[in-house]
Amino acid sequence: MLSLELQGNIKMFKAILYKEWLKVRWAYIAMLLVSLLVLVYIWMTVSKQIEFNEAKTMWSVIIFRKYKFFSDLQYIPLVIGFIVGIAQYAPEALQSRLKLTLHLPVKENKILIQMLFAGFVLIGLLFLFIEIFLTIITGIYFPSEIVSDMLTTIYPWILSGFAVYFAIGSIFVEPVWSRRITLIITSIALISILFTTGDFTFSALLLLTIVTFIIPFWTILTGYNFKRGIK
Amino acid sequence: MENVVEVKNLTHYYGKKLVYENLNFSIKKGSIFGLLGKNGTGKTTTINILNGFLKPASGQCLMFGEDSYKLSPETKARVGFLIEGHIQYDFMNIVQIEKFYSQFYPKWKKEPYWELMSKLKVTQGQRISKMSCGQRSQVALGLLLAQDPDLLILDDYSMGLDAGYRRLFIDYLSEYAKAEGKTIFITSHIIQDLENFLDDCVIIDYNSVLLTMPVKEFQKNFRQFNFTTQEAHLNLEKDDLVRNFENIKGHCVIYTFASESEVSEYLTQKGIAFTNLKLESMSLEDAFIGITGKY
Repeated sequence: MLSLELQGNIKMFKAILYKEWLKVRWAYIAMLLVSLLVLVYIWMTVSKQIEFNEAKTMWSVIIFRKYKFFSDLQYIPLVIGFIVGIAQYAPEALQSRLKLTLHLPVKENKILIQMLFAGFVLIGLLFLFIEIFLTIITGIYFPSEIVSDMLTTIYPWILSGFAVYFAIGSIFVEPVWSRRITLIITSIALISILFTTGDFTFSALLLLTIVTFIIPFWTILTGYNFKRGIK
Repeated sequence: MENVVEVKNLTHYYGKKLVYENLNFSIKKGSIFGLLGKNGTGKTTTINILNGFLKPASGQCLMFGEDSYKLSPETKARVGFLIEGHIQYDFMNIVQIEKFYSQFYPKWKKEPYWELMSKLKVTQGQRISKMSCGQRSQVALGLLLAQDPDLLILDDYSMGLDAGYRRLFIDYLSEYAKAEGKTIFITSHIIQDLENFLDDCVIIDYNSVLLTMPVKEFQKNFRQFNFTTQEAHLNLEKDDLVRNFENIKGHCVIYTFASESEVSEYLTQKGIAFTNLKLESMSLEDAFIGITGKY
């Protein structure tokens, strides 16, 4: 049996998830379609290349020349995080609608984190779909080493989607423009690192993951500024 | 009687600009309290401080005994808040928004909400953003009534509403106020609608608090005296007796808490030759303009 408090928390989170879904659903569906189109395009391209070249030739090009047949996907997670973030947070920032949310009978930090978590779950599902689709395409034509390499390569791209989404959350909640600009510059710098060429080591990826998942806590600080009424 | 809201020595600045200094008032449980003032005098600032969206420069605001800046979820559930301009989640329709809010409030009563919605000429799938200002105000009011809060805070409920919607709003609020122990804190710049509705009020002006008292006492004791004088440019400075003064080509008006004999004696002492000193009756709006001035 779940405790009453936990049941209440689940009920409220479901309500927040419902609200966030209503805001982002059209942007989300559009992003799903764009992702699907890019994935189908990649599939068709790989399939044609395999048809015109021998599979072995393709493998060697991928292994020795570091050819990324899925490179069209590089900025898709970033775009998804950006568009979903804007769709979710712009309506809150406009006309101080965030006051409605912060007046709900839930602790302010908790509700801000719940909002971010709702978006994280939604874009996370989209990224999972992309990864599974791409894994299947790659697995059809290539050995598991190439599948594994592909997943490692797209990992920073996926992180960029989460990073931009979390950053947008904190930027829209922040009431002071000068601080918003600082957050924008910091976010751009951080996200640029994720697109640097060359392979990341495991520890570099771990560090980037930690840094990305620290960004949601910016929202606590910007939420505090919003609540203090700093202008 | 128990105080639902207590504001003690509240002072606030925007940058170096003083909004007001030492604002004090308390709101009794079961009363209807009006915060009245012209545009830009700090009504919304006070509401924001009360709801914990602004930290005051100094002073204290207590709501149900809690510091308003650190309200617990339980206390927030007891407070219904109408944001200036009837702001709501306008990407939702009336079904979605009721479903959303009902998850947060233990005392949720959907009947008053749907009763109000049945009066609106809107479809259930119509987004709130596509509704008129009056219709949006009714959605916001319906949600507040469904929340069944112990304290309703309404920031300029009349903004953008025509006379019909304003009357409807007040009618519903009056019904709500009849329930035992329900308290209303309201701000508005349309004072005429609040006549016979408010119990107590505080009137604020730019940088200052003009008065805090029961409305009946204010209407009973605040007076307007007209007189005529040959001194076309006569000007009386505000003091303990003269709360406001107007002179249009020798036709003068004094707003005061003093009696007719006190005013007559005052003018005589000042050496002002006057005739036709006469007490004029005032509505609440007249009295409000009298004490705050027209400009």
